[in-house]
Amino acid sequence: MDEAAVYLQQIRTMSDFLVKQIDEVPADKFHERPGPHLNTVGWNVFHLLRIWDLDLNWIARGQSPQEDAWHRGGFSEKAAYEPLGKGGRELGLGFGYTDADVDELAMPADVLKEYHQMLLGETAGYLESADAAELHREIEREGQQTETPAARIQHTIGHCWNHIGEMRYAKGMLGMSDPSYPGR
Amino acid sequence: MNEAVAYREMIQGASDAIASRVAEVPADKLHARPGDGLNPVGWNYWHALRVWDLDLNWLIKGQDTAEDAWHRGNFSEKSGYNPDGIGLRGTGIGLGYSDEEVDALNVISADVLKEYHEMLLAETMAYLDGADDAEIRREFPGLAGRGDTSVAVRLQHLVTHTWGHIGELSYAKGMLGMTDGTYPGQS
Repeated sequence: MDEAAVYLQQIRTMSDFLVKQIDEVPADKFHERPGPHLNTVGWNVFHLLRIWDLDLNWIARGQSPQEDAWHRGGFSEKAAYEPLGKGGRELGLGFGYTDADVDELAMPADVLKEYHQMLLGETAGYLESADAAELHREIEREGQQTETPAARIQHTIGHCWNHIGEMRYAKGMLGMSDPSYPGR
Repeated sequence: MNEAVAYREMIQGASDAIASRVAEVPADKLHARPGDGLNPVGWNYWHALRVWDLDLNWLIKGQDTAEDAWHRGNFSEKSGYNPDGIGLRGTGIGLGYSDEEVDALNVISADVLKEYHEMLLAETMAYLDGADDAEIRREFPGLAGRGDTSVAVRLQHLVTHTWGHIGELSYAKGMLGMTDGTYPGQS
């Protein structure tokens, strides 16, 4: 199995698990705070997908933020939410949000699931045509260290699982626990 | 690049991340509960390492549970905590623990967990140094009742399971006042 196939297999496994985790959450709990100033399940889903978009489209494919999957897919209209201009450096990724910014993320889970399916499709298309030279192509980023598409795909996998973990902690606090919770 | 190299990079990345996130936690917060019935940072770190041991030593290398890194490294003696017989099916990996069983982990210091972590990382890298593509694709029986698995599947699980608990312990850290740029109002 070549390197791109290894990454795609992991992206698909993670995606299946992510969808299952989202589907377990009732609509009225999706954007509920588990406690004051704590991020919601919905925020975690939005944030991990936005970073996936950044890794794949902004960095690996060199697209502008206005050309990413969120914008090409018309998700600002579908979600009634425009992320650009919000949060840290106004990138609309979920970093540096205020409590009011987090509460503004009231979009339905189905819109985020559609965004996820678009990202998964674009990632599969990219990896199915990416040879070793493409995966290890050096990408210069102003003021930041040199990147490669392989490093960004690895980051996507780790970052997605990180926030799946965060959302599972939040789910547990909302009464949706698993055998890793004490006494369950 | 063969598959082993890709897994080596991903395991090193997850390992570095969990080490740095735990290193930020003061000793008196390592086993603190963020709330009633919630797992502490220390439980998450310990559980991630125990499942890493399971993936590498119990499954990939086919070792007996008494031969895993925890036991070969004498960590029951070093930590003052013996996991044998605790939790789900008595496996002592953190699953199916009661609240009292989670609190019993309080005796394990961060230094002991770090030493266990370093042993697992060294064993994993030594294994990957000698693993060709045929070894990575090797299939073998999984845990009871779960059908066949493969080295690749367990390595992928090691990476993803570790990252999942990095997320859980990050959430716990936030609740204990150690926030980052993803917390509302904390940028």
